[in-house]
Amino acid sequence: MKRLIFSFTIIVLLGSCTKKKEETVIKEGYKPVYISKEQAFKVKAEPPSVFGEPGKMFLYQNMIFVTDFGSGVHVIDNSDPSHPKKVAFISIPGVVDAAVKNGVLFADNFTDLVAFDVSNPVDIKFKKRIKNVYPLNKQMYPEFATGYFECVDTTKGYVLRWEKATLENPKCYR
Amino acid sequence: MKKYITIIVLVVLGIASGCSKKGDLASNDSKNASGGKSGSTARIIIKGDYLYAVDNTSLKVVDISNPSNPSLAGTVNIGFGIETIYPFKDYLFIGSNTGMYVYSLSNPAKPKQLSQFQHITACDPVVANDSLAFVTLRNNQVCHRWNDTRQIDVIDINDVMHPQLRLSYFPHFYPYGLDILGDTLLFVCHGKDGFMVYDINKMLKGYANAEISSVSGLDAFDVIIWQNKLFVIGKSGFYQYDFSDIHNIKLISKILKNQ
Repeated sequence: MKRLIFSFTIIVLLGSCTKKKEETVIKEGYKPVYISKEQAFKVKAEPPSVFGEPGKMFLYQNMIFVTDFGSGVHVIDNSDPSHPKKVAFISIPGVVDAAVKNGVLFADNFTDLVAFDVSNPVDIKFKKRIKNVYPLNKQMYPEFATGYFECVDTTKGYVLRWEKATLENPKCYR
Repeated sequence: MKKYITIIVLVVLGIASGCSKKGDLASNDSKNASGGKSGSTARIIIKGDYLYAVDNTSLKVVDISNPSNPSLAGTVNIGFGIETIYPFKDYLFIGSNTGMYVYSLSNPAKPKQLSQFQHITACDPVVANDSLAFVTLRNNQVCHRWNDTRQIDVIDINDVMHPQLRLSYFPHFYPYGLDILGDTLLFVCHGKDGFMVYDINKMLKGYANAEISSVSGLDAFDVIIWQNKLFVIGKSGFYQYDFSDIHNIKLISKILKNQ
């Protein structure tokens, strides 16, 4: 009898294990939004744009450079501080930070560092790209959050940003 | 399930006035020969002929003596969780999730580690004046999830080889980016709770409340003092303020998110 109960218990336990595996686990978390490797390195000066995710700023003479996380740098003329005026937007996918010296702006663009001549804000010119300055180790998880996230598939390109999502059977957690 | 290294660290070193007087315009400008200024959460800074950029684990040195033709001059491996970088005199202060590293720039092409100040695992933007560094620690969400810390550590850096904790101050709100005006005023962002100005002397004397004034109604992530004005950025947008009356900080203008 004891043996029977024991066997039964084992079967139930095994059963519950199997059952668990079949269930779909739904979790709230983050999923990566990808940008193709070709698009990732397309940088260029554009007309002024609205603030998306204002991140960091660099102050230079009467200019203010505001980084929009992941998308580019807003160039703002602050000659009249009561009326700061956006004069250009430099589209730089993946950008986090920027700094300026002698009229040249430097910013990160995924693995690369790019340089633009911003001495004339209405005629911003691309100057140079230094490849492979940065590793991509921060690409593999949403660094601003904890919890579940969809694992990164590097064959899909670079991670442009992370967005909230309902995840099925998420395999990555931090 | 693997746990990744968590923790965001923001190190920032605020104003670096060469003289220990109030961080006035002249000393702010002299700090940065490029004529510009980065915020306390910077990951790229410029000093002299070099650009220094941090990634998660290392410091990149880029020769920009000819700004139009920059070139990578070297890489210095540092550690994990590197987030921010700040130049002060001939030093670089680099923030990681476990502490603050001090590097010498006596050879600006090859930064050399002098010391490390270890603290609890936390987010840590930093600013400094001649003798003190201020590190903000916040242990919410990503940073050290299990504790709830709102802390400003004041570190004696008179001997950069041996940074020493002078005291910890406990602000009411989570502290983020910050800037410092000489020996007297500390401006600290508090995220969704705006920003606050603190009296450094009161902090050093151990006052539990060293607040001078505060501004709310904005989400403040980083602050820069520049040309006698206050520039603030955060999730809600960009703001500039007149703080000539420190008890009555006035908004000059703003550009909001989606604007």
